Amino acid sequence: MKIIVVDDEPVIADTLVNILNGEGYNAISTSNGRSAIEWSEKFQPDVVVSDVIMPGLSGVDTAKAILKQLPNCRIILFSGQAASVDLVARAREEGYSFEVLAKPVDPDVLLNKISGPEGA
Amino acid sequence: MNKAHNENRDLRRLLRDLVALATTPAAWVGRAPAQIAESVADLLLHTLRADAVYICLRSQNSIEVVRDGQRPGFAEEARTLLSNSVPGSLYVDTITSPKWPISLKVAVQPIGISGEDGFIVIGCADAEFPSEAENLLLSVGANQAAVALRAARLRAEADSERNRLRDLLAQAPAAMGLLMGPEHRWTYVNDEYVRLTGRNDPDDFLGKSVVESLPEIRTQGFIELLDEVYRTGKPFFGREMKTNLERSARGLSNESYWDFVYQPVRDAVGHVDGILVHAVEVTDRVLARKNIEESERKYRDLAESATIALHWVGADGTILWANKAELEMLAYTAEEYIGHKITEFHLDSPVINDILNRLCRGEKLREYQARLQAKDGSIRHVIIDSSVLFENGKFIHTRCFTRDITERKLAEQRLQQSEARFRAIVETTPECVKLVARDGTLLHMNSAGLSMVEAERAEMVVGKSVYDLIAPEDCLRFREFNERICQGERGSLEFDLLGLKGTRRHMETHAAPLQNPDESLVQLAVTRDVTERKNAEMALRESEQKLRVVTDATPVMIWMSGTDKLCYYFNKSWLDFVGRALEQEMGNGWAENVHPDDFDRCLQIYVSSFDARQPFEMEYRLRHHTGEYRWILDHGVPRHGPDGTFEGYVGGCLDIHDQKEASQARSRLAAIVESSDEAIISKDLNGLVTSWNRQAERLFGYTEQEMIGRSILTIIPPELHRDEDMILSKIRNGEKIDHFETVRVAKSGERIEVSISISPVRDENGRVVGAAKIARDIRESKKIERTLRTTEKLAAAGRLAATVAHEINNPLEAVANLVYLAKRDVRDAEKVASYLNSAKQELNRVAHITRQTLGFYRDTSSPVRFNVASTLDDVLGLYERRFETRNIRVVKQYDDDAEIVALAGEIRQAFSNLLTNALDAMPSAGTLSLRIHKSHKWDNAHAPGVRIVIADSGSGISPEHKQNLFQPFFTTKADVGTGLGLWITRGIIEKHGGSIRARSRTGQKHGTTFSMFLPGVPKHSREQAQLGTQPEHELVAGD
Repeated sequence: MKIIVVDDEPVIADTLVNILNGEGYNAISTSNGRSAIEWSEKFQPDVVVSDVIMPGLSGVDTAKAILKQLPNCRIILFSGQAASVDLVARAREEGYSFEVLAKPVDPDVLLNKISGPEGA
Repeated sequence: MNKAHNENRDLRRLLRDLVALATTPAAWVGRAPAQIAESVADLLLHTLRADAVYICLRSQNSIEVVRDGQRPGFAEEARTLLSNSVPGSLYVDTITSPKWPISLKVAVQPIGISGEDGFIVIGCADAEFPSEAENLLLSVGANQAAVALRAARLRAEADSERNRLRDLLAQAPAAMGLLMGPEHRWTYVNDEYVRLTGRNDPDDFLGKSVVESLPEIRTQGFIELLDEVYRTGKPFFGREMKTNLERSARGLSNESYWDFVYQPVRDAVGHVDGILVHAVEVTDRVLARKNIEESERKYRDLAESATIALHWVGADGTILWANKAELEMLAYTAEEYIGHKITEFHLDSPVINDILNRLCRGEKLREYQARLQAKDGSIRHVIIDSSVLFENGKFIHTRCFTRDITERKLAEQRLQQSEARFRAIVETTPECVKLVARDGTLLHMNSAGLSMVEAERAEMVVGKSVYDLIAPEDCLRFREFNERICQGERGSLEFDLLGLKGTRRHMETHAAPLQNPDESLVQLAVTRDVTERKNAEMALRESEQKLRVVTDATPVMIWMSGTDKLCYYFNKSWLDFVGRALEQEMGNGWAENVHPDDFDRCLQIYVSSFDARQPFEMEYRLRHHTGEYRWILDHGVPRHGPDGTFEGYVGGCLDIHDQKEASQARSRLAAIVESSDEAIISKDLNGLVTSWNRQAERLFGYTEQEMIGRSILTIIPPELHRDEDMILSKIRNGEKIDHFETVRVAKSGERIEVSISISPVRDENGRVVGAAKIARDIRESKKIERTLRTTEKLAAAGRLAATVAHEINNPLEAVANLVYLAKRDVRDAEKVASYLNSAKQELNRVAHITRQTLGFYRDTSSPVRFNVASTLDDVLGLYERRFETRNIRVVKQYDDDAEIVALAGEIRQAFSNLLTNALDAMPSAGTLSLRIHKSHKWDNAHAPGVRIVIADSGSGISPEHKQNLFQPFFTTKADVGTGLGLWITRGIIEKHGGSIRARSRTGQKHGTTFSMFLPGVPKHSREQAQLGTQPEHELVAGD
């Protein structure tokens, strides 16, 4: 399974990729929404794990753009800020339903989420 | 095999021939019998392969057809055969002839039942003839011929019948036509129809509908009649129906009258399928009758409605007819008059007998006077004109025209009476009544006139020239006057009369022309002695002249009116004021200058006072000659003559405009002051209260009476009494004090926060004599302000918490991941060390943020000395990562040792507000410049302090937003802002005795710069202590 991790904090992005690859996934990281969208086209990920509040494109807008290319791609958002709740809620009004995790996320919880069924 | 083949072939031929025979009659339809016979002959010759055929038909004219090319003489043989025996059915024989090589087998076939239509004779050399098949073919052929012949005969009969009918219809004197179907299409019209409808050809009708062929009758109701006849099957009979047909081309009148019948025509089963039209034009008859009727009606009407009375009397004296005028004259009904003897109605029987005798003799009567008795018994005087209508020498009836002259008779009598009465009046009237001829001769004078001219007898003046009696200076005028009257004019004249005894009298005469019996005109004059009146008028005019001189000299505007309420005099002042002439003002002309809003009220006062003969006084606006309306005080009193008789009104007016304006302005101001929502107080330069409005009473609890004359210090708290000296000294210098917020004490002892504006009051020489003070109660707005500050503090705390959460959650996420990795790679000591090292750095970040955040929660209740640069850096540290992620460059330029004494927590909040604003202004990339340097106040070089500048390179603030920048609830960030940040910031800075300014540019070199000044040491004032600590309490209480 191919996974792209998006976070503007390199420490978070790098450690998550390290964890996911250790569990046998094929994961790569990127630090902003724009490059995540470009990578999605080449890499064709099954899952995208993205921070919400980032400079430039937000995680929500990034996810929307990726879903346009890959409608079956699974999106998991994670955020440490209350403002992200508003962005996700607005996306829901537009018909997008994303899975959202609050930072800090326990890596085991994230791994379970990825290996488990969508929406669980 | 061969035989079978032959039989088959024969059968096929037979069938083909049968079919040919069976279908041929269709081709014969419409043919004449002779042609049919020819066709049958050819057909049989061919199909039977016969040698000769003879056909004879028994129609009207007998027809023979022979085909005997190969057998000459066959026709004679066939005729002989038929004359010998007439067979009822097929008959076969053998004929021989010397002209033929061999004998022929002959078949005779009757056509129709028992040969009633004729016979077919066929000859054939074949000994076997006719075979069974040939028999069959022969009989079918004959049968078909019979059918065709019968059809032809029937058609011929129908044709001849139709032609007969057509001839008949064509010759009919009436217009006829046949319409078929519900659309009424012509299938036949006769020539008469074509002619009478103004058309040229039957083709104008045939196949067309009535509407198509005669479009002009579409609206004349005939189509509806045809529809009705077609629908009901009932014939329609029209009598003298009027139509308008377009037939001028034929020289016929368009308007025509018709007697006609629409007769339904039915088909074989009795359904209506057409309409026969039969029409006779009766226009001439109808018009002739109408002419007669019309002329009869006219004459009857003329006689009946003539204003002159008419009656006809028969030879025996019976009234035969009388018109309405005659009946009305005598008030009888027709039954009561007509049929009666004429003598019954005449009062004088000799007269009527004479009339009748004369008439019988053939005389004509002209204006014969008679008296008739009306129904009510009254007598009518009449004059009669009459003659007799004789026909062939026979007396038919008289024709009497009677004119009622009763009125004239009565009028004559009345005139005689009135003349007598008039004479009596003339003689007894106290005025001179005279008749003067055109040449001046006095023709008549009554006794009053005689006494005026001092004549004892009429003869002394009558018959002599009247001009001798006129004063010489008036004589020429009088002569002209007399001639004018005698030419038909009317008129009046004043002149002086000289009596025979020399007395001079002033006379006023009214004269009219009077017609003499000889139609010449004379002057009829009624003349009055007006000497007394004239003298009085002279006196009055003199006194008025005097009065006018006086009134014109006065500045008071004076008017006078007569008993008719109309003004007849205005003095010079009035006329100068309105800039109009006396003539314009006379009567009601003056009213044009009164202001429309005042006019009705003035008129009402004037009229009601006038009628009550009471003096009045009124104010109104009168248009000055400059066009301006000015207020006038008008005082009117009734005028009385020396004898006490009422003579009208005199009025004097004063221009009170300026006084009125001043008093109105005063009362307006007083009203404003009284109704103001703000306390308005005035005091003299000693601080003694000189006025105290209603709101001042309400606000401070002291009444106006209590405060007037008392010191203003009454409401100033003791500790602020010094301020009053400062205020008074400023006022003495003519300075104003605007929106000065302070505290005053009410009567109840309550301290009231007020905003005060004070202005000097000057006398007319410009000297300051006192002060006017406006005090607004600002307790409510202060309370709201405090609440808002608290609200914003809570909001700021919330925003801070959100920022901190993000800053902490991210390092924690990293730590969680690193711990997981350390656990996973526990056997690789090098990796674990690296993970833990990273985790330690992340945890340091958390600790740093926590330390910075705590700064906000330090006790801020008392000012402390602190370094500005490090405090600003502390706050900046909170947002540092956000600046970094947005690519915002931070440029610092600090005086590192700049210190101030202030409430550190509040200053942090102010910095935080400005930094978050800068952050929001630059969503991606930009420069944040921070400058701190020691400085002094903008307006006071002796007040040292620190200037802090926070500048962003964002898009800037538009000018229209800039003026509201520091207002509460103003925000351009609808999603995230409360609109209180800058308002709070300014509050904090100003509380510390500092100031804040904003500069902003949009477009090129855009960005916003906030520049703050904070004094090195804050000024200590009671207000700051009060306002500075209170919100902290409320925050605690509200938590």
